[in-house]
Amino acid sequence: MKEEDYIKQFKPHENPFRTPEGYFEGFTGRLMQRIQDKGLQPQILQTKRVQMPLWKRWVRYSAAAVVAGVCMVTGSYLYVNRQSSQLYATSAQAIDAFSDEQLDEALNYEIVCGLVDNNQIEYYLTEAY
Amino acid sequence: MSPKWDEQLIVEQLRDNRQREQAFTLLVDHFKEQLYWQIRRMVLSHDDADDVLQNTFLKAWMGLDGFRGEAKLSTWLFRIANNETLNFLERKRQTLSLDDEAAIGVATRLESDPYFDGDETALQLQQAVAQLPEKQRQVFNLKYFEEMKYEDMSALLGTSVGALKASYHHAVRKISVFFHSLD
Repeated sequence: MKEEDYIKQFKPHENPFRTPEGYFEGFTGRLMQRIQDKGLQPQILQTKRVQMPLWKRWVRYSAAAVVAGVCMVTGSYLYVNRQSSQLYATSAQAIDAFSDEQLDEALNYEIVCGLVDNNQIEYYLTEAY
Repeated sequence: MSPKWDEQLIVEQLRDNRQREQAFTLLVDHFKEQLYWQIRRMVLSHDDADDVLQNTFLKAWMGLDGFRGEAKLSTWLFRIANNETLNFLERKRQTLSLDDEAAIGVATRLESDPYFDGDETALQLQQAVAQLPEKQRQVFNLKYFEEMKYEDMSALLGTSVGALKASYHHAVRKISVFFHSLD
């Protein structure tokens, strides 16, 4: 990817971010002290089922359908073009057909639907992921 | 990272009331730096990263009984950290108005940050990265700075490799445009 090569030149050789002296060395002790001071104990998770509003579900499904539709149309277009030997450059161009919002929606959709574990799904829902 | 890391043993000890505190200490020692940098690249300031990291481990400690060992500890912690980071950024966005954000600016904030040593290019890069939507920024950070494989990222974020590639491509395009505009 040409643009990827272009931006590689701006990558710093060293991490420009620093931490205060001894930060990592003291972190674990401070954290465990905080846990002890507050008397925090692991808790059995009382997961409450949060029902996503119907309208929100429909918005998500509709957005996913739109993305899928665009994928299909773009895919068909690429396929037809390839068949007729008219080069459509790279799949990178196809990706550009999507807006940020569509991509974010697709990512959100996958985050919600792509989890195997029910607890994880509930966790994200309850944590307003 | 601690020299001896036996994940299976740690998981067993975390389930044992008598050993869990000691095991959790080892867990914090093992993952604190990795998680810190993941968080820091998103929130930028050390103080904010420290807060989010502490909250991440506190949530992990409180939710220890919810960890069933189906995912790796690193995946479980990464997801908690990720969630904490996004929640933190959301809260911050709600408290700061857009004008405040625009007035301060990432470059200005980092320039006055005692824990940032970057040169002008590093500042510009951070400025360019900051303009990305949060999830795109996350994908960009993991790929560009951490050089994480898409497959590993996919397992951590629960997103398909294709969607991650598309997101990264968009981010690269925007950052490239940003730097071209400076020429």
